[in-house]
Amino acid sequence: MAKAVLKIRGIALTMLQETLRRRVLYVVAFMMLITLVIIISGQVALRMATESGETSIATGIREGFVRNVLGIWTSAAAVVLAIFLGAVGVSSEVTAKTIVNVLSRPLDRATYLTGRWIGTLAFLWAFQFLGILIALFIALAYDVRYSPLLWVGVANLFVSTLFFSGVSLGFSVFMPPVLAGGCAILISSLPGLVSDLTRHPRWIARLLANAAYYLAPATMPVDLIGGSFTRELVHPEYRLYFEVMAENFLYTVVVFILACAIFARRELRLR
Amino acid sequence: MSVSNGRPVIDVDGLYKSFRSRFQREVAAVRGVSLRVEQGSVVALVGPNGAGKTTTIYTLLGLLRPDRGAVRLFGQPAGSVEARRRTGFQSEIFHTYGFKTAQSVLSFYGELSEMPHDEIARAVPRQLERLGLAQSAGRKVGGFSKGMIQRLGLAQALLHAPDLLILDEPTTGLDPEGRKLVADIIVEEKKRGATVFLSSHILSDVERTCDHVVILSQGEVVFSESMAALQSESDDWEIQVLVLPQPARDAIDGAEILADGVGGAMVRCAASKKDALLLKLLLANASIGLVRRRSRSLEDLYMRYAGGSSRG
Repeated sequence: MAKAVLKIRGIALTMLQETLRRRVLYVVAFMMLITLVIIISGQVALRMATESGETSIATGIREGFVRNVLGIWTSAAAVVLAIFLGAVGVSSEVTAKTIVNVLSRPLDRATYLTGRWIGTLAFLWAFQFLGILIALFIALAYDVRYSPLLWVGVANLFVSTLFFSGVSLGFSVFMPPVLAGGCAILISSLPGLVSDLTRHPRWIARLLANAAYYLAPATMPVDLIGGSFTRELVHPEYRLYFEVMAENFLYTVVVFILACAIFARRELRLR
Repeated sequence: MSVSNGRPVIDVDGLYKSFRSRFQREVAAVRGVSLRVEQGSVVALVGPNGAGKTTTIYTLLGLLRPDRGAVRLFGQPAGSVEARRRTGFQSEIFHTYGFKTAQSVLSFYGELSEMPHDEIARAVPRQLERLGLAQSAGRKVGGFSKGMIQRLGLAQALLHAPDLLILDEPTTGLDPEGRKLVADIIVEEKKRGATVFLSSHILSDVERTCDHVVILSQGEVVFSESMAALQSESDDWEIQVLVLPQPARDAIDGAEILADGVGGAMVRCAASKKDALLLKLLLANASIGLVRRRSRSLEDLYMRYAGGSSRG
């Protein structure tokens, strides 16, 4: 067990170093710039609203700073990075042919995939954590108040990153990386795409739509981040939110276990 | 085809492996290869490009699965964790992480090989020193020359003192000094008791270091012999004729004259014709210097069995 942990640690650290070498730090710098643009561009409107005594508008602008930073940084950018890094997690090693000298060691394929995934997650969660810290700093600086629901929303963001990186990494062991990333997006969009079809008059369409609906991961019924500020949810259903997160976590684990089983039987053909 | 009757470290029986790309017909890379490699021996797999050497090696490591046949290492199915635990592998070109230092690359592979940390701490500088890379231990591998990377590749294969070393073209990209170093290390590893299975194009290196040679051509084993037998056995004989008068010269008509000068001539003939030729020479008053069985060179054998079959 301890040997497996050491191997996973070594592979994860290597994956993290590889990720940093992929110039994803430019994304961090770009997100910093976007954050500055959000703040600076909102300053004029905020000053006008404050000077004219429109306190509710001023509060809305301040909340917008936090919401936008969280939304752009931790939702959009982190999810895009999760899909990209997950999808190339194995293929990059195959392309570089470094995988040969790793898999010729006494290492089972599941250990290898776990190490690669943890290395990817280490970067993604650090990236998200930085975004959340910046958002909280802005909230403190502009005296933005939020409900405890925000923390549930933040936890959901971490689960989303885990889901997208795990599913795209899982798919990438048996399909090309671009397709794996595309499938990860598609599968998360399935409930929205097929919800109307579940009421289709033809039974075959309903059957397929229902199958697709239940194959897809669970969707969060409310915007947790958006509902954490002034327009707070009246009856937040914490139990339901945690069930959705747990379901998505388990969904990812199942996809990952299936991927490990497929990867264990996969041949390594290098060109 | 059996290398030895001893306890086999590698046991390949009827290995068949083919590849099929999307738009191409099936291509058989390895066709019915069987070989056994006993503990402590050094066996070379030689053959032209596309002969199936790397496919055979990847199958031994479990990176490829046989279509037919059985492959076992240490009695375990090829690719099992137990078999890989006792195996060190160097690929033809050592692809590794350019952002790591030589030291950290070896430590990484040491961890993957389940070496305890204190053992890694001792083995890494020792192997770097052995491969002449001690001065570059702290340098990033991305800045290494091709030869240095190959040496590092050999160092990682040797790191955990494996019972079996599988080396795919270990001298690729090495200068003569590097090639000698690799040959010396193979001899040292053999003395340690390790089994070495290598593929190579450099026939002189194979002759110098190996106990047994297997020639692979178009996916099939076309020749398998111990080096000792190779050097002692021959179908041809050589006769040194010190004085070669004209009647004797007429007598050797049909035989091959290898050298003809003031010191006499060296004549080569098949074993079946040796006695008749000697008789003719003696009757023609030729002065015979020596009669010997001609030792076969690996290059001759290679050209005979695999020459002109390159796919690469």
